[in-house]
Amino acid sequence: MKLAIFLLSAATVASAQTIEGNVVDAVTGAPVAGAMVSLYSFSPSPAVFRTDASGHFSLPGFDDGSIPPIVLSISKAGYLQARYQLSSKSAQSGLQLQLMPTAVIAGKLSDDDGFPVDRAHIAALCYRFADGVRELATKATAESNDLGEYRIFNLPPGRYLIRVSPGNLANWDRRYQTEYLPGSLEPSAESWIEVKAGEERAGIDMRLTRHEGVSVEGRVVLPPGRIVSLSLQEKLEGAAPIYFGRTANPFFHIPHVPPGNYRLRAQSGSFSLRAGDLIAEQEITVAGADIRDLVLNLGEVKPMDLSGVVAEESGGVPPTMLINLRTTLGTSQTVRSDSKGTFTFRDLLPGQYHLQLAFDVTASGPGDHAAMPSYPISALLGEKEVLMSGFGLDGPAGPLKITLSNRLEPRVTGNLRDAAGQAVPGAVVVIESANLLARRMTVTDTAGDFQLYPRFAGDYHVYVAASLDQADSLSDPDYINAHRNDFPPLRLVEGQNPPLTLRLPAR
Amino acid sequence: MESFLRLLPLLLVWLPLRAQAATIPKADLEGDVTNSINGRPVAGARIRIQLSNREPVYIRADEHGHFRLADLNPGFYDLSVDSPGYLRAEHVSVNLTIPRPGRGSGLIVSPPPKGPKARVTTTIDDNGAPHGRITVPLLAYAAIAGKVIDPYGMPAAQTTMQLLSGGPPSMPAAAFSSASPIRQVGTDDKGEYRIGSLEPGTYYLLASRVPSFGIWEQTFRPTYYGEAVDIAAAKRLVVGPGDRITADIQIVRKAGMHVAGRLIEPAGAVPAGARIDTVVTLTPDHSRMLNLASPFARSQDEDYRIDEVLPGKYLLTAVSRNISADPFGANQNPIFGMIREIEVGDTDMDRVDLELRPIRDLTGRVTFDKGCEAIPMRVQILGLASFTPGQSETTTDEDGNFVLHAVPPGRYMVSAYPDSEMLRGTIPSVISMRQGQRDLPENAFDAPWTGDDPLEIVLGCKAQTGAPSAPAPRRPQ
Repeated sequence: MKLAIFLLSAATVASAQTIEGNVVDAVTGAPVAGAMVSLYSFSPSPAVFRTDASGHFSLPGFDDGSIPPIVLSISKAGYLQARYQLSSKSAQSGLQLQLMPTAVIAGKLSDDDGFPVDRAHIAALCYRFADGVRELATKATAESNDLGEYRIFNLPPGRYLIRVSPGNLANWDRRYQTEYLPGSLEPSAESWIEVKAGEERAGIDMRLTRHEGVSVEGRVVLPPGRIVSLSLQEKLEGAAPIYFGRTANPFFHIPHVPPGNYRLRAQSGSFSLRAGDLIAEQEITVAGADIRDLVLNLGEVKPMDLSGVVAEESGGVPPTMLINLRTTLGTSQTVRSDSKGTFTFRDLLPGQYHLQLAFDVTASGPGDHAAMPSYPISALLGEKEVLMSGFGLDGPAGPLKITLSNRLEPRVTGNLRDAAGQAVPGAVVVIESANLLARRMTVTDTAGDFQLYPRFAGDYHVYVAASLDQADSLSDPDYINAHRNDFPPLRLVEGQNPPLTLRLPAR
Repeated sequence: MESFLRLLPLLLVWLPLRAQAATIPKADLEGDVTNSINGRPVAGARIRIQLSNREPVYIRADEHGHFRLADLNPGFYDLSVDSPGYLRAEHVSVNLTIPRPGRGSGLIVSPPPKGPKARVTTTIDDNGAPHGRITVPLLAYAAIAGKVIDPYGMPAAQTTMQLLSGGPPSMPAAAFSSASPIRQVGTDDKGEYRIGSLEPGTYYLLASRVPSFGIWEQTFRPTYYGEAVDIAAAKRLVVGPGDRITADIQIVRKAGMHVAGRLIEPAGAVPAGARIDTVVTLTPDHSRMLNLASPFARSQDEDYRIDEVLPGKYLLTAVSRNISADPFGANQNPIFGMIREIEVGDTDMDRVDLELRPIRDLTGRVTFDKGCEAIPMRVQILGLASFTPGQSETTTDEDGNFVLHAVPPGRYMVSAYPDSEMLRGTIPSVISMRQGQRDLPENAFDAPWTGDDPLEIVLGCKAQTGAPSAPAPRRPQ
C-alpha cells in the first residue's frame, strides 16, 4: 500500500527509470488509446494510468532502478484484459504490449409462433481444464431482451458451443426445451461457432421449436404427512431442472421430457441436505417412449465418517497436514492429521466432494515442512485417484490414502520468442503428459521468460497460446490433437533441467 | 395389482361420469384480445387455456384479435394471453361450470389478479351448456434503453443497471434507495442496455459496478440517471404504456477522503503464530442494502486504510479472522471485531484507531408482561449492514432464556415470534428491548458490545394480525 503511494509521488521527482511503452491492437497493430494501465506491486490497490491518443503510457519507476515483482494489467472494453509480468532482464522503456480484441456472437431468438423470445439464457461453452479433466464449461452468457436480441461479448478467439435455455418461454409452454444452435436438442457440428479475434458474428439467429417429448411418471413411497421436492435434471454441466415441484402427493407425472440422460431426485427438507432428510435418486434414460410406474424409495440421509492417512513416499514421518473436503454447495470441513498421519472426517453427508491439501504452518515438530519440501502426489480412495478430480460419497468409504513425496520436482526454465526473434510476453505455455496430474501452465514475462514445476518426471508435449484468456483453447481435445507437434516433445528429469528455448512459427 | 388399486378411485369417479356422458353438455368460449389503451384489436395474439392441472390448450387469435374454443369440458379454466409488445395477461379465471340444480346461474364475473381487467361473462343455454364470452385487454409495455459511458467518455461495459421504484412524486427519494431493484440488467461491450416488458410507472435508474481492478476506478461512483451520486438529486423516469424511453448515463467521478488508523487487537486473544486478516467496511447510512457502494479494506497488518470515501455517515465494521487456522476457509470464523458509527467530512481521517473486541455469545431472556401467558419463543437476529451474515436464530428454554453463539460483528435487528406454528397468527408485541440500562432503539443492537449485560426482551400479549414478521420498531422517546 505504501509502495503505491510512493510510486505516485515519485512521478513528480525526476525518477531514475521510467516504465514506458505503447499498447497496440494485437490484430491490426494500431495504437490503443484510453486503455487503463494498472500497476500492481506489493500493493493490493493498484496505481492507475491511461494510454494517450497514440497508445503511449509512462509510469514512474524506482529510484534505484530495481524491479520488484510488478504486474501491469491493461484493460479496455472490447479487448481481453492482459497481464504482463515485468522482467528485470528486459528494458523498462519502449515496451510493446498487445491487447487482443474480443469477439462477439449476436443474434435474435424467436419461437414457433414467430414471437421474440424474451429473457432466454444463451451460453457460449468451450472446453476447460479443471480438476484433472477436460470438460465443457460456460465461458460467457447473455440474456435476450424483449425483442429477442442477445449479444455474447468478451469472447477470446476460439470455438464455442451455443446453448439456449428458453427461460420465460418455458413458463408459457413447457414443450420449449434447452436447445443447441442451430435448433436441436443435441449438440452437433453445426452447434459450434468459431470466432477470430475482434470478429463480430451478428445474425446468429435461432428459432426455438416445441418438442412433445415423453411423459415420465411414477410415485414416491412417501410416509404420511411428509412433503418432498421432486426434480428432474439432465446430467449436464449447468443444466437447469426440467421439472421441479414440492408435493405431498406421492404420484408424479412429468410431461414433455425430451430424450436424454436424467437424474430424478426426491428429497424432503430444504435445498441443502441435512442428516435425517429423506432422499431418493434414480438415473433414467429417456428415449422415444413414455416411462411409467417408476417407484422412488426414500432412504434416510445418514452422516458417515471418512478416515484416512497421510504417508511419505520415503517412509518418513509425514508433516502435519490440513485436509479439506468441500461440497459443490460450498460447505466445507477441514481436519488436521496427527503425528501418525491419520485423520478422520466426522458426519459427512452424501454428495460430491473436492479435496484440498495444505501444510499446517502453525504446527511444529518432526514433520516440519520447511525442512522437508514434500508435496502431495496422490490421493487414493479405494482404487480411485481423487487428488484432482474429487469424489462422490454415497455410503461408507475409505480409507483415503494421501501420499507425499520429497522427490525433487522437475524444474525447467524457458524463453519464448516469435519467428523474428523477439521475446513474446504474456503468452501461456502449457506442458502436458499422459498423466494429467502433472499438467502445468505458466505465463511468460516481458522478457519472454517462464518457469515450470510439473509434479512428475517424464515425457511432455508443449503447447503455447497467445494470452491467458486464450488458454481455454489448450483444453480443447481437437486443438490439442492438431497442435501436438508444434514444438518438439520434452523429456523432464527430477531437479533442474536444461533451459528450454521455444520459437513460434511464422504467421 | 398395485397399479389397479391406484386407479380404483379414478374409476369410481369415471364410471358414473361416463354413464352420464351423453347428457353432459359441452362448453365453449369466444373472446377478443384488445389494446387496453385504445380498445383496438391485437391481431395474432396467442392464448393458453388450461383446466386445473390438465395439459394446456393453445390457440391463436385471428387478424381481428378474435378467437373461439368449442367442445370444452365444463370446469374452471385458467386463461393467459401473450403478444409481442404487450405485458402477458396471466391467470384470468374463466368459469365454464354447469350450475347445479337449485343454484343460481347466468352471469359470473371473475376479475383477473392484476393489470387491465378482463371481462368474462358466462351464460347457460336451455340445454344447460355454458357459453363464455371474454374480452382480454392487453397493456402495451414500456422499454428503457440507453448507453452508459465512463468519466472518460468510453463505453462502460458490463455495468449493472438497476431499476428502482420511483414511487409517487410526493415520496422522499431516500425511501427508495435501500429497496431491492425491480429489474437488473447489464450493459454490453458497447455500454448499451435495454430493459423491456416494463409496467408503466415511475422509476430510478442506477448504473454501478462491483469495483474491479483495471476497469472501474475507485473514484467512479454508482450513478443515478441524471448524473447524480445521491438519489435525492437523481431524475425520475416516468414511463407510460408503450413508451420507448432513452436514458443515457455518464458515470460520475468524484474524489473522496481516506479513513485510516491502527487495528488494536485484544490482549491475549491472538493464538501464537496466527495470521489475522481484518476486513474493515464502511456501509453508507443511506444504502445499507446496496453493497456496491460500501468501501472496504483488508489488512493483515497493524493498520488499515480505506481510500476515496465520499463524505457522509457510515457504519464502520471490522471483522478479524484467524486465517492460519484453516487456509480453506472452513474454520475461519470471526474471532474479534468492532462496530461504530462514523461521519466522514471534507478532510482525510488518519487516526481512526479501532479497538477490536472478542466475539462473544449473546445471552438473553424473554419475559412477558403481566397477565400474559409465557410461551416458547423463537429469537432471530437479522444483519442490517452489508457484509454481515444474514441471520441466525434460537429458541428460548422454559425459563425464557436463550443463547446465540458467537455473533459476528455487525448491526442486527432482533425479532421474536412464537416457536409453535399454531400460534404464528398472534405475535406478541415488544414492550421493551434493553441491554442492561440501555434501551435498544429500533430493536437493533451492535455486536460485539461492551459490558456483560444480557439482552432483556419484554413482550406484551396483544394479538396482532397478519403474517409473522418482525415486531414493529420502537423509537426512543
